[in-house]
Amino acid sequence: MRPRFAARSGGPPGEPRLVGYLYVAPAFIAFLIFGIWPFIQNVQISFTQWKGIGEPKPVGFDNYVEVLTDPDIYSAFLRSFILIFFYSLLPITIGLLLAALLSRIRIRGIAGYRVALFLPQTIAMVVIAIAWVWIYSQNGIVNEFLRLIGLDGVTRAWLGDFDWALPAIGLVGTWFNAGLCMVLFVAGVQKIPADLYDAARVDGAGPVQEFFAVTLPSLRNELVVALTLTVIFALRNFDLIWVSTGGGPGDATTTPSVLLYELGFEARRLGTGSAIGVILTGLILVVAILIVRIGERGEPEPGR
Amino acid sequence: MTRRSTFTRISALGGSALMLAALGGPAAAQDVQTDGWGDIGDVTIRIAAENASTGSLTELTDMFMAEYPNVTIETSFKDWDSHIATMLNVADLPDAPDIIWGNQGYVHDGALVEAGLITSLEPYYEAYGWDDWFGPGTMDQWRFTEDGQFGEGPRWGISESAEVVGVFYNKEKLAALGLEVPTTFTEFEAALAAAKDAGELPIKLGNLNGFPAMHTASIAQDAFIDAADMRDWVFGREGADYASADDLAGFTAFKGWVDEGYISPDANGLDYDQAWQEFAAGDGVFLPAGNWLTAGLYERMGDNVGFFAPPVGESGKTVATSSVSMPLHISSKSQNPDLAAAIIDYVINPDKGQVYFDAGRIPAAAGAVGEATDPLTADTYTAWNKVSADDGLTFYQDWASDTMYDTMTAGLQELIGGRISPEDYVNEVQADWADFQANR
Repeated sequence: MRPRFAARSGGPPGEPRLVGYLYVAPAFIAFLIFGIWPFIQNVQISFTQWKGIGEPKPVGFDNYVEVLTDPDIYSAFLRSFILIFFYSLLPITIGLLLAALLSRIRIRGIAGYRVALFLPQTIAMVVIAIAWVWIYSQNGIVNEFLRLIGLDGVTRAWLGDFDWALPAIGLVGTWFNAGLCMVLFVAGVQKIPADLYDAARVDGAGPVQEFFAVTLPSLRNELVVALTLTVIFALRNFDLIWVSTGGGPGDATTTPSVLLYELGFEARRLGTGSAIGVILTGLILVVAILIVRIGERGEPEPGR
Repeated sequence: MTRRSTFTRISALGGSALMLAALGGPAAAQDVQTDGWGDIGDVTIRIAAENASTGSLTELTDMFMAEYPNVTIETSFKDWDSHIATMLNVADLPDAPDIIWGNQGYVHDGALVEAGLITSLEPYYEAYGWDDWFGPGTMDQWRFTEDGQFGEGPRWGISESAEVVGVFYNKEKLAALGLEVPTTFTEFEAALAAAKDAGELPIKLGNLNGFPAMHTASIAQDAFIDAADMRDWVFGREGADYASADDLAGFTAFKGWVDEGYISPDANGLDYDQAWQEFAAGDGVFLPAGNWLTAGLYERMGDNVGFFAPPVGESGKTVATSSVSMPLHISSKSQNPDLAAAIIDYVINPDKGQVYFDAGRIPAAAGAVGEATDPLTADTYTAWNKVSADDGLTFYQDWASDTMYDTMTAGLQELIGGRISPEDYVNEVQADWADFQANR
């Protein structure tokens, strides 16, 4: 009854698998303390009415009923799904294009471009938010540029515009995530065996056909990773929105995480805030599992 | 406006400290130690304060410790956001600080009272005669009954300094328009029109953050409302109504400013700090805001900036969004509450007024000794005295419910953006209030 941990075929002989748990133990314990345990507490609080001090008052599913019957939460989720377009689909498209370009064309100082494109990932989100508030302001560089090319008529304080605030925030997310996607895809492209491209070229494939026949299918794993990371980022993003617009103007950029903060921490309705947190976590889990499942399905990877 | 009688107020208290003090009369006051602090051995008092108090409080506690070397006062300061976010949990600690800066309204002070974490200051009001330092309307903001009614019941706090929302103005620009400082609302609106005609921006407003419009709109609202009505509404007293003709007239006037182009066209997209710094650099004739900007504006504009109280409407009374600063509370876990109260008495005493003026603040206690050291602080002090004399404090309207801040900030952005009408706005605000009062 020991084959499970005894040895694995193809691995180093005699190395017990059990020791692997020791390696993951520090990370797992940290995850337990800072991830799992707070989540369990969060679920507990979501069934109470509590201001953070004194005794929580058990209220059953009241908080969930309150949240789910409030039309505000649905418009907030709708905004999150709009953000998925800007935070996830757009950067992945840009990342793929850049990866395809960088893998085909020799560009002088390519490392410099890669660093520049990846740089946003290394900056604290609060700093990014403050910088973009300036960029989008009435006299910021976006409007300066528009004036320069004679488009004075469309200049506006972008983050104060009810129709444009959400796309404006979304484009910050695009800028932020495009570099991450590009780095993932460039790394992936480098693993594609050159003979696949040779074979495609022999068959007479042009750059576009080559991209769809070889590059894209080979990047399936990287696509799943990029999609998972950016979609989760879109659904739970808080700091960028909170620091730049605070959910405004009106509630034009209010997402579930902004509602969570307003109700849970500003109004000290911790139960209601926790209920939003549980719903949001559940949704993120479902979406992440769906993405991974869809990624695993489909045809086997070519030529690995 | 009717107010609840003393009888209902006291009967609502149950076994609270006010009742004990009232029943016990002068005898109760004698139970409080008010002097002899040099003879109590080594004692440490810990204070959890907010950053705005840093200058004046450090000086005053140092003076106290010099007088009583056996008393050690340890003060920790946090910025507003951090203090607000952690205050309740700090007060809940087994070794909570003796003195804690609270925050008026249901979310913080209400929760502290409800959880029994702070002690009533009624015995100390009586022992030290603090009643003489504040108007009756002012003191209501420290009251909570134990069943959670704001504005009634015993006083749980007392405050150091005064905050008043009024209008900063650019002296050169106003003079260039050939205008005097407006004192009535009619004069003020005429000045706005004159500024617009002269190609100036009449009112600078940076409302990306949402809250600044609350102050700007209040300048219009205050010309139409009765201060006592607004306080009743803030306290959630029965029958109070925000969707009244007075408030509606105020917001209609404010919307008029937006439509006439009197207000920064990019208001909803302009950051607050950026806005007042642009005003300091010469953009805009008027900047409605609170006296917390005094130091920053004076440093940048010098004698070119002045401040006046909200111009009066038909009532002829000065009404302003104003209150006193965050209340000081004594922890119910304090081992030395009497000493803590003595320190509070020392810090807030009007004879220490000059310390506050030197720090660019307005001492809250009436009859403060001393005078402002710069003309702008002097202007704000004049405005505060005007408001106080007319009992015109409305307090901050967002104290009225736990979600009112978000309702008002989002609603005003929508009003400025033309998404809703003034009627919609006052109805939304009243609906939030009614909902909170019904479920409280």
